[in-house]
Amino acid sequence: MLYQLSWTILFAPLLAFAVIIFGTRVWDLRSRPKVALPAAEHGHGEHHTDDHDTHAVTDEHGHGGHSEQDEDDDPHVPQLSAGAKASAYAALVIMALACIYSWVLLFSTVLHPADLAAAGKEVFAYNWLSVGGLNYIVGFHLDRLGIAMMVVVTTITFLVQFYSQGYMENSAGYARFYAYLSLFAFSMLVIVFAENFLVIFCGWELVGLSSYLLIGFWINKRAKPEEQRPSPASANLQAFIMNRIGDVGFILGIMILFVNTGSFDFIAVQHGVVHMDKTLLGIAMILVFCGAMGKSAQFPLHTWLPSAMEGPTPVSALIHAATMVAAGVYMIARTSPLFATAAPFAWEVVASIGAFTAFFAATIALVQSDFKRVLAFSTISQLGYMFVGLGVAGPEYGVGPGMFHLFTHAFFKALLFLGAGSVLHGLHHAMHKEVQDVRLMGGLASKMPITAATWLIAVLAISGFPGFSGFYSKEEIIGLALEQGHPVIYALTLATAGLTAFYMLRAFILAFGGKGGKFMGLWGGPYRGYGEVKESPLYMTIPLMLLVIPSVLAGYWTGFYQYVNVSAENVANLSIPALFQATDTWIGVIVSLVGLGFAWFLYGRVDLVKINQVVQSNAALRTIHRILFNRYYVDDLYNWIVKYVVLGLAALAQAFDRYIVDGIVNGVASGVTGTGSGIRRLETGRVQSYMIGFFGGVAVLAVVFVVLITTVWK
Amino acid sequence: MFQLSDLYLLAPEISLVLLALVVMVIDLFTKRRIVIATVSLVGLIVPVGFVIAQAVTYTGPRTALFRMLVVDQYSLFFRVIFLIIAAFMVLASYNYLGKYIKAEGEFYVLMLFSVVGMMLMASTGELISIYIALELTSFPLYAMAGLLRSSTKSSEAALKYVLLGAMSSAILLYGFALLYGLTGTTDLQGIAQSFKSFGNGNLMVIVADVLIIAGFGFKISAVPFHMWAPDIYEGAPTPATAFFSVGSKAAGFAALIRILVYGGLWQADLTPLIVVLGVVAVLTLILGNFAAAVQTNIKRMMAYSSIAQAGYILVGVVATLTMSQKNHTAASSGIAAVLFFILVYVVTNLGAFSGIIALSNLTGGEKIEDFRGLWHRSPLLTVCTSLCLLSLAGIPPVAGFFSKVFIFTAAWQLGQPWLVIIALLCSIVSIVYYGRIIKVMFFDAPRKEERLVAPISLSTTITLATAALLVLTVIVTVVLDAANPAALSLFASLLGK
Repeated sequence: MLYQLSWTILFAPLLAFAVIIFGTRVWDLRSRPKVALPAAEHGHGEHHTDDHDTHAVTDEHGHGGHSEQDEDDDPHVPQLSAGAKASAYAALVIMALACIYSWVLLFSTVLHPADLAAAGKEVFAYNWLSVGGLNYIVGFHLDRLGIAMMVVVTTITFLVQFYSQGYMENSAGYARFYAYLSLFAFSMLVIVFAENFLVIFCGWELVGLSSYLLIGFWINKRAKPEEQRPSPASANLQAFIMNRIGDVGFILGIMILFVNTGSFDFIAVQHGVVHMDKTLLGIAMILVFCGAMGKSAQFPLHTWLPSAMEGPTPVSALIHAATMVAAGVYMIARTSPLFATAAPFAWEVVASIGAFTAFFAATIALVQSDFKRVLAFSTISQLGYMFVGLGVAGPEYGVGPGMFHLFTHAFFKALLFLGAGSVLHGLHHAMHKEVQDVRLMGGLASKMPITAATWLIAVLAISGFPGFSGFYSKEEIIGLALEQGHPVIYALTLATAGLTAFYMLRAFILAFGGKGGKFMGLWGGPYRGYGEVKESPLYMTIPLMLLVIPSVLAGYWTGFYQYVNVSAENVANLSIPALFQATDTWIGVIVSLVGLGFAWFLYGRVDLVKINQVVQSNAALRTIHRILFNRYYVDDLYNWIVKYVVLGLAALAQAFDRYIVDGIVNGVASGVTGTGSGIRRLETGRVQSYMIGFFGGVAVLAVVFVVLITTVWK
Repeated sequence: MFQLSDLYLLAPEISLVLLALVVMVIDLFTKRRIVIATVSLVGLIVPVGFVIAQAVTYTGPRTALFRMLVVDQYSLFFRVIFLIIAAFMVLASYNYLGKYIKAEGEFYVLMLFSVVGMMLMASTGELISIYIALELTSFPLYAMAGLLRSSTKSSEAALKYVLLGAMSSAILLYGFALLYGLTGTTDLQGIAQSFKSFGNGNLMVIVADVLIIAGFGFKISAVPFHMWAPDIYEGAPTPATAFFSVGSKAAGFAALIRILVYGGLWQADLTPLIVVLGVVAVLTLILGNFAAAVQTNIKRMMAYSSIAQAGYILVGVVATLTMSQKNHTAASSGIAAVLFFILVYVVTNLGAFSGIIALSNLTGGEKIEDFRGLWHRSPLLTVCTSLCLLSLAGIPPVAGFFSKVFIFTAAWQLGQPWLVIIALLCSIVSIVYYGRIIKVMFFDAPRKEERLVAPISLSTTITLATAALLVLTVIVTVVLDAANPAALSLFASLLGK
C-alpha cells in the first residue's frame, strides 16, 4: 500500500501547478491595481503571452528618468499580494508532503529491502491506445533506483522553493515562478517513474519545456556582450535547440529498439534485445546516449548549460545542477541492462565522452570570472564523472558508482548554487545592479559568514577532501577507471580532480576571501565592489545550512550500490576501509590537495590584479588564458556554423520551396479552386432546381443499381 | 405484448417529453431566459440517469411495445450522444438566443422534442416508428430554422427546409411502402426473413433500397441529396445550424445503419447495394471537401465540411456491409469505428460551431476574413476553436485523428482499399480549408485591436467541448471498449441472441 500509492508523489506537483495557474495566480493578478504603478516601483509587461500581467503591470519601456540597468531588471511589485504568497505556500506544502513521502519510501526500502522487489512495482498504468496488437501504456513504476532519484528531486525542489521566497522577493512573476517550478518537478518525476521509453520521452520533453520557461523567466533582460552573457530569451532558445539535437538521436535509438523488440517497455525491451545483433544494439544505445548528452550537457552539446545560467539562480540550482542535467545520467542508469547486453564499445563511448568532458570543462572553469559560469562548467565536469562511473563500473558494480556521484553531487552542487545565489542577492542589494563577476567581489566571508561557511564545506565536498561526501563518490570512480583497465580515462579524471579542487577554491577565495584575510586570505579581506553587503535572510540561509548535512553525510551510505542496482545480480558495495587502504585513493587525495593548496597559495596571498598582470605579460600564458576564457571557441564555431552553413542551407531550401514546391502546390490549389467554383455554380439557391437534383440523384442511383444487377451481377 | 416494464425501457424518451412540456409551461409564466435554460439543463439529468441505469443493468438486447422499441447497446450509445448534444445546445444557444431570438422557450422546447425523435430513431426496429421518429425529429428543426424572424434569409431557409424535407420524407415513405408491400410486415427482422425467399435482383427491392438511401441521404446530407445543406446552414440561426449538423446527421445514420444491417443482411447479394453506397460516399467526399475549400462564408464552409464528414462515415458503413454477410465480428469493427467517429464528430463539430458562433457574434461577421488575427483579440476562443478544427481535419494527436484512423483501418481490413485511398486524398484537401481558418486567426494582422470578451456561457461551452475533445483523446480505449459491444449488439439483436 505504501508503495502502491506512491504515484501521488508524481501527481502532487501537477496539482500544485494547476492550483497556482487556475487559482492563486488568477487571484494574484486580479488583486493587482489596474493603473500604471508609480514610477519608482515600476515594472514591465512580462511574458508576451501573459496578457494578464501586461494588464496589471504597465509596460514602461522608454520611460525617461531610469537608468538602463533598471530597465533591464526583473519587474517588481511593491509588495506581494495574498494570491502570490498563497501560490508559494501551495507549492511548498504540496512539495513538502511529497518530499516526506519519498523519504519514508527511502527509509522503508532501506530497512526492509524485501518489501519492494528489486524489479520494482507498477504503481500507475493507463492503457491509452491499443492499435494493431500494440498497447501504448502510460505506465509508471517504482523501484529503488527511482526512489533514490525521487528523494533527490523532491528534496532539492522543496529547498529551492523555500529559498526562492527570499530570492524572488517582490518579483512580479512570483506566482508564475512557483507554477513553473511545480511543473518542472512534475516533469522530472515523470522521468523518474517512467516505465517505458514513450513515457520517459514525454517527461524528457516536458523538462525541456519547463527548463525553457524557467531559463527565460526574466524575459526583459538583455544580452551583455561585454561579459559574454546572452539574454535569457536567447539562452533558453539555445538550450531548447541543443537538446533537440540530442533528442533526434534519442528518438532514433528508441525506434531501433522498438523495431527490433516490438515494445517500448523497459523490461520487455530488456528481454527482447537478447536476440538482437550486438553491434546494432550498441549503435542504438549510443543514439540513446545522444539524448543524455544533450540533457546532461556533455561535449559537444554542452554550450547551452553556461548560457542557461541567465535564469534565476534557484533555477540554476534546481535544474542545471541537481536534477534535470542528471536526468541523462539517470536515463543511462535506467537503460544500463541494455548497455550491458550491447557490444562493449557502447559503455566505452559513454565513459570516454564523460572523461573527456570532465577534463575539458574543468580546464575552462579555471579562468572564468563569472561566478555562476564557474559553477556551470564544474557541473558539466562532474556530470562527465558520472558517465565515467557508469561506463567503467562493469557488472561488478553496476550503476552504483555513477548514481552515487549523482546522489552526492546533487546536494553539494545545489548548495554551491544556492550559496552563489545568496551572494548575488546580497550584491544586488548593495550595488543595485546584477553582479556576477568575481572581480567585483572579495572578502565577503566576514559580511556573509553563513553563506561563506556552507560554501566552503561544499567546495571541500566537490574537491574530494577526505571525509566529505564527494570524496567517497569521486575517488571510487577514479579508482574504478584504473582498476577496470582504462589508463587514459584514469589520467583524465585524476587530472580533473586536481583542476576541480583548484578552480573551486579559487572561486571561493575570489568571492569570500582575498589577500589580507584571515587564515592566509581564506576568510575575509578587501571587498572590491561597493555598497553595504549583508547576510541574506533566513529564507535563504536555512536551505544552505540544511544542505550541509547531506553534503557531508551522503557519502557514508555504503549500501547505495546494492540499493540502486537494477540488474538481477548482486553487486559489490562501497567499502570505506578498502577505499582508505587503496593506494590510488591517496594519489587522488594528494592531487586534490595540491590543487587546493595551489589555489590557496596563489589567490590567498596575491592580488587578483597582479595575477592578471603576470598572465597578460607572458605570451604563452596569455594565449592559453584567452583560449580557455573563450571556452575553446566552441560557441563561436557553432555561431559560425549556424550563420553560414545552416542559414545557407535554409536559403537554398527556401528557394527550392518558393520556385518548385510552391509552383506545384499553387497549380494543385488553382485546380482545387477551379473544381470548387464549378461545384458552387451548381448551387443556385432555388428550391426547384434542388428538387430536380434530388430526383435526378434518385434516378441516377436507380439506373446504376439496375445496370449493375442486370449486367455485372448476371 | 405491453408490459409495465416496457415503460422503463422507454423512460429516457418519456422523461425528455415531460421535460419539454415542463419547459413549455414555464415559458408561459416567466420569460426569464436563465430560468428556462436552467430548468432544461437540470432536467436533462433525469433522462441521462435513466440511460445510465439502463446501461449499467444491461444484460442483452430487449424489445418492447410490440417490437417497436429495441434497446441494445447500440441504441444506448446513440442515446448518450443525443443527450450530450442536448446539454451542449442549451449552453451554446443561451447567449445567441438572448441577442437575436426573442423566443427562448420555443427554441428549447423544439430542441428537446427533436432530441426525443432522434433518440427514438436510434432505438426502433420497425418502419412506421422509424418514420414517425424521423418526422418528430424534423418538424422542430424546420421551425428552428425560421426562428430568426426578422431575417429573410432565415425564413427562406425554413421554407426550403420544409419543402425539401417533406419531399425527402415522401420518397422515404414510398420506399417503406414498397418494402411493406413486398413483405407484408413493417418489422425489420420480419422483412429480413422475407428477403430470404426472394431471388437476387428483385426490381422492387432495388427501387425500395434506392428510395430509402435517398430519403436518409437527405438527412445525412449525402451527395446528391445535400443541396439543401449550405443554404439552410447559412440562413438558419447559428445554434440551430450546429444542431442540424450534428443531431440530424447522427440520427439519420443511427436509423440508416440499423435498416441496412437488419434488412440488407439477408438480401442474397449485397454487391449492388455496396456499389451504390460506395458511389454516394465517394461523391460526398469529393464534393464536400472541394466545395468547402472555396467558400468565403464560414457557415457555408462548415456546411460543406459536415457533408464531407458524412462521407467518411459512409466509408465505414460501406466497409461494414462488405463483410457483414461473412463475418459479423469483423464487420462490427466497421460499425464500432463509425460509432466512435460520430461521437467525436458530434463533440468536435459542436465545439467548432460554438467557437464560430462566439467569434462571429463578437466580430459581427461571418466571412472568413472577419476572423483575421483573432488570436490577438481572444486567445482562449481561438485556441479552442483551432483545436476543434484540427480534430475535424484529423491532425494528430487530437481525437479526430483516431476516429479517421479507425475508420480507415476498418475499411482497409474489410476490403475497401480504394475508398480509403480516396478518403485519404480528400482529407488532405480538408487540411487546406480547416488550416486556412487557423492561419487567418493566428497569423494575419487583426482588423481591430480591442479585445473581445466572450459571454461566459459561450466560452464555457467551447471550453467544455474542447475539454471533452481532449478527454476523448485520452480515453480513446475506453470509448472503443464501449463502441465495440455496441456494434456487436446490433448483430446480436438481429440474430435474436
